[in-house]
Amino acid sequence: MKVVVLIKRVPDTASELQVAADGKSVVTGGLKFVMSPYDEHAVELAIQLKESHGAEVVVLSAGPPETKEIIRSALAMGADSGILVDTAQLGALTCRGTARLLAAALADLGADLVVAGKQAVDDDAAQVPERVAELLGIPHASVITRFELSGTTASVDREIEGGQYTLELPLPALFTTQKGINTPRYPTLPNIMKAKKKEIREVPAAQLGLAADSLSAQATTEAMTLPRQQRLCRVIEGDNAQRVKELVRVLHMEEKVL
Amino acid sequence: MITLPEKIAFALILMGSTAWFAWRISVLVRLVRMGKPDPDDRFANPVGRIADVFVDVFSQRRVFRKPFVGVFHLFIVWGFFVYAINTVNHFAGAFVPDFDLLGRTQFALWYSSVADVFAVLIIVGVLGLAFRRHVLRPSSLTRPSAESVLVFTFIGGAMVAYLLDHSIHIALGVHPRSAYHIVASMLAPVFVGWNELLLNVIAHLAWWFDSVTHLVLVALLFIPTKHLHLLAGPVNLAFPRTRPRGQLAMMNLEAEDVESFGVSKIEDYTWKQNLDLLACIECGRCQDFCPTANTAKPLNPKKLIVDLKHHLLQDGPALLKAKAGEATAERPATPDLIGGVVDVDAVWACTTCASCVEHCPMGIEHIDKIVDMRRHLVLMEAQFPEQADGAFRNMETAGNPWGFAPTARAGWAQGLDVPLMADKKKVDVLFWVGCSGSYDDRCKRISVAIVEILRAAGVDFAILGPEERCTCESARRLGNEYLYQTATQEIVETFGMYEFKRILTACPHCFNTFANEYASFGANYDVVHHAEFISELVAAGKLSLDGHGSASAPVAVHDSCYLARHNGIIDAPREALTAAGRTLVSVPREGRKGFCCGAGGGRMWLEETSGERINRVRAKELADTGAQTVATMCPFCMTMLVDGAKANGDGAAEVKDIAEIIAAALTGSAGVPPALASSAGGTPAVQK
Repeated sequence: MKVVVLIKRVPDTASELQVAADGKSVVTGGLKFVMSPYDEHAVELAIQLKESHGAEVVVLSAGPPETKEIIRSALAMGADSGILVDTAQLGALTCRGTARLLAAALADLGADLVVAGKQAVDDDAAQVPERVAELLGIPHASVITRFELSGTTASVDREIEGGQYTLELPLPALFTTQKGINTPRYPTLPNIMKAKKKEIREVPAAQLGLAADSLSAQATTEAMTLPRQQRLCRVIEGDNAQRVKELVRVLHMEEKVL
Repeated sequence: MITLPEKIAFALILMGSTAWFAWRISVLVRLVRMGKPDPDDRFANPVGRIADVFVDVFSQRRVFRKPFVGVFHLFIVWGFFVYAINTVNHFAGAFVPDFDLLGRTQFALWYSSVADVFAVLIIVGVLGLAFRRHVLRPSSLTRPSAESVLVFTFIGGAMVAYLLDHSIHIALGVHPRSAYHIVASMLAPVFVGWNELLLNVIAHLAWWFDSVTHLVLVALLFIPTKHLHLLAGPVNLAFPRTRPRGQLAMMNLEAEDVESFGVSKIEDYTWKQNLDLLACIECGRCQDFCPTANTAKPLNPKKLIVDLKHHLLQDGPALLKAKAGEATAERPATPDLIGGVVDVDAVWACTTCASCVEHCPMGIEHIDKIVDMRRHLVLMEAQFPEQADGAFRNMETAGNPWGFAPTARAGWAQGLDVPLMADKKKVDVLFWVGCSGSYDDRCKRISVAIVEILRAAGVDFAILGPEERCTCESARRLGNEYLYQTATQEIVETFGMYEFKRILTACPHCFNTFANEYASFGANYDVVHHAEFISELVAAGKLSLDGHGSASAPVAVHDSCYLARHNGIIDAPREALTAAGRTLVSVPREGRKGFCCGAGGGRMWLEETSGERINRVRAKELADTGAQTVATMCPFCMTMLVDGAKANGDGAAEVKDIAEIIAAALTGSAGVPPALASSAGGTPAVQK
């Protein structure tokens, strides 16, 4: 059994982000990058399957060469090998392009199961894994909080607003993991040391045989702004009629939300 | 004096027991040597080491830290040595009539008098210590203890028998040195006129009792009792560590031939750690100021050492046998070290405050044994209390235990125009702020106070700002050596980019790390904690302190373990406070006998789930002094004591860092802490 985990390199959640001078991108210099936290749950799920079913765990990511560091983190948790689709030579990618790259890299891996975090915490798009599944033509279920395998069928709980689905899907299939499905393990020293020697195969994006326009961004970023940092609390005084009037004025004129 | 059949019986007993002792010694030596090589240089300066042991043994200076015990123990120790000649005479005298090691000299005659006096002193010593254990009943001692009753009876009994034997012979008029046995001759009149046969029987019984008790006492040295300290204690005292107390052993994490890191089996300990176990006298001084033993937690340092000792003595021989056999032989089954011999919760309870190490008269190193077990759990098993997981991950990725933005590290200094090393490149003093001083709202005020003091004294300084990161000292003490070493490499690289004469730290844990631990990484700095630095500035007349309204209000000083016990810094903060016009009230447990706040050893990041809360116990003790101000020197102590007082519902005393007290007393200061620029941070909670 082969499990492929899709992971993404994102800025650490503690980072203070700054918008670059062009007003359309984030300053990445000085940022610390980590594996997206939801992806850690996917890695943990895969490693548990390795322990219970002897699965082979391959970690796959698309990104710049530095992405190898977070692939190494997954290997330290216990994954067997890694593949990096090097996107250094490509322009900005959107979910569409990233999904095509990953699907192309997955095509001849023969994965029985693909898992990924429910979303990456940088752009929060929550699209890539589902797009990959559609491109590969395999069933998928998102935001799962339970995973059980019997034979070639996976039984999962899928979290929805105010409730949950329990689904059964035939493998091969793709799932995205939600917090609560497991607790990602802390790597042991021997595994950290072993991870340094495990193979990470680098695949230049160009080798995947995709037409340039199939990777092109279908949307452009016009502007990027930071959420307002200062949260001021303001109490509006007066009788109810005055207060409602003032509240509407503030929301409309000052906060511009109405 | 004794009959031929008695001689034959005695000779057989003597030969048998000598052979048995020799065998037991060889077992004990092999048990000690079963340990791994010790990372410390335990053989440096052998002459000095041995001289120290002689001073320790004959002055009993370690035991005298408790004067009552010291006096009575001294009688027994000196009695033991004085009486040794008599012991030889007694044993040899069984076969060679009138044998005397000292010969037919005047000195030998005088010695008889001295031995008589010491026989009495030994009896007094035994009675004094027995009185303490069984009547005064200090909580540190085990009671009832059959072992100790046996030892008391035999040592005291041997002395009584000795005096009896001699006084009867004097009474019978057959003692050649009656005049010199000053005590025996005083007792002799009691026996004058008794039936001669009866006296002879009593004398023989006394002789046999004296002989047998000696053999039994010697035997007790070699079976698992605390009596073993007579032999293992002085030997252990000959091998104190050369590295500072605050330095944990460096681990080579890249070592290819190491299969398992840390300690998970008794044979993972070093030979010195094994020797430590045999040396334990079970006096319980390790518990006296122990924060966990005093708050009903699973860790009791005495129990830890005694349990490990019994494990070594019981299961060690089988392990030795297996080791001596085939290399492929399976390790004999023994109880698990962690979770069996030692409670897992006990392993995590330690605050590494060193009160056990400080007060142990036998030089036992408790902390290292505990950290070694933590190292195994973290590095090999990834098993640790779940709160540590968040702290580890945050220290790794965000460079601080709470997971605040690394770029917000200098947020506390906003508006204060504090220079950055990146701009200045070269300064006299690099001010290492630390994580608490950077992110914790309460502790940021300490950083500001230190800046005020530095400015008032005209010190050329700068901070690293966003280039600073957590030293991961607490991670190291929780066993996460890998994280610690990674952080250390980064920090040493950062230091290497700049020129500075000294590092000033606001945190005793950062201080201890730079001052004592970085030497293992080949990085040596002149490091000073702000308590000492302020005291230096005061002494050099660089600070003008005219005090303020509250200047005379009494202050209770709460010592930081990593200053007082780990680094001997006790007077400096007191001198500075006195210079600022503050009066000091004494705290029941202070200085080297201080009581930990509960946050050391990485406990800052863990929940305290059993027993009384350490910080509440300490906050109450400080509040009970009646002082209006509690002075701290450590951000962890600050957090713990503020929380402790709050939980106790006691708001009478304010907790202030010594820097804040001094800053408020500076001439021209408004006497109130400056307002803080608002910035990222807050009251940190570990983000999970």
